[in-house]
Amino acid sequence: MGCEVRTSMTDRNVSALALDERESELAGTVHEMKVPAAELFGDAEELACEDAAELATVEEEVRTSLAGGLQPALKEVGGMLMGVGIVTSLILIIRSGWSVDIDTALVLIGASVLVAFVGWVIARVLFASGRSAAAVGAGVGAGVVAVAGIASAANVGAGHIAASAVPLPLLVAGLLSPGTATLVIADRMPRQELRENWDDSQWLRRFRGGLRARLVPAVTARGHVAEIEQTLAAGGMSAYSEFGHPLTLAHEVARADKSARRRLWAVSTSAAVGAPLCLAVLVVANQSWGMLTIPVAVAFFLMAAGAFVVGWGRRPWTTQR
Amino acid sequence: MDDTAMSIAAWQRASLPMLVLCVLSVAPRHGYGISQALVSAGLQPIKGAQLYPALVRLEDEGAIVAQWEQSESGPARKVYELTAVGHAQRADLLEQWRTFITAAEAVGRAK
Repeated sequence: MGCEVRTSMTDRNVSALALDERESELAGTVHEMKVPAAELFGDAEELACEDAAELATVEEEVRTSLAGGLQPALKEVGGMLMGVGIVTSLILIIRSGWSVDIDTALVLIGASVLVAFVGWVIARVLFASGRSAAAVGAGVGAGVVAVAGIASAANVGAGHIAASAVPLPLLVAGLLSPGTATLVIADRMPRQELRENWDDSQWLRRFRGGLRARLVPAVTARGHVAEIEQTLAAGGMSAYSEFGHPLTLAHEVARADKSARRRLWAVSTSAAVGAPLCLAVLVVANQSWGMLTIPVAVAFFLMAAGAFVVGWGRRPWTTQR
Repeated sequence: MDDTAMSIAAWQRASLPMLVLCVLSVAPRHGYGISQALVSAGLQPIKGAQLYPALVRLEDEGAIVAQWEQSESGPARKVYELTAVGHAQRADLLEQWRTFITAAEAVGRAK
């Protein structure tokens, strides 16, 4: 039961320490009462939901979010590489035989798309960490490299074979290994803690960036920064000792801000609905999945419909924080 | 910090919105002033990390409004003031608090 509750509470922003304590508490109670856990506590998933609501912290949310450092960023990049690898592998399996001729132009296009995706992830990581300027730089840099790659592919043209008769299993293994390796590295990394050494100017910059990343309007964000500066001047304390981690406070403040909540909902729902819809259109337009084109497009369409239903259920003007 | 101080801090965290509304019902104050008022009343010092999000939530709920006021000796300060909604919320929270205290005392006497 303890393990089931622990598994259900994973990824619900509960710290490892709190999870350990709760698990041993449940195990101790079961041992003491000598009654089956299910009889004592009821449904494990339900209990996990209740516990998570009580034990989840904003610090843990920030630590495990994209803003939490290298580990979550690597997980995101690894997941993206795996996604691209799996989709490309499936297309190759559907369209090719046991061996494939690798076209140079296609490799260039594939690499450009990959650079664009990785750049997008890095830009998101930087933006979520409150480094807006660096995020724009990373996004623009990746975009330039991707466009240059596609332009090179156009120059090379079709028909230039980089390698012929490459065995498909070898190619699939090559496509899946970068994502697998990245995910394994991320999984084996030691647990990362949030940074604790900040000078006030760095702290305030990151706090403001964190507010903007949570879509708090610029004027409101400036007001919050000015108010904290005023408090620091009045009290003579350091920003970190008084307010904790800047991104944790930024998350809490943004959550309490009506317009930020609405903006965040609009952006996340649009992305969740728009991305699968775009993919459905691309799949149909390119007929890239052969005889599976229509089922795949329908699956993407259903994903978009599901995301819309979930998003609508979470609309901020009817739900409580 | 001993166990008693820890439990007072925990009570304080749980009842922070009510405490803030009570402080502001006396007079408008800036954030640091609210913290000082709580300490003057004998409560534990409140960290900005707890107070500030609570103020933003109360402002979002319409219980308080904030205005920037130019101070004579330094930079402008954001001063919070209770609204009619805030007065009603304060009365409601105090009522709930009294009900809870009464019930808790009854439980304490029943042992």
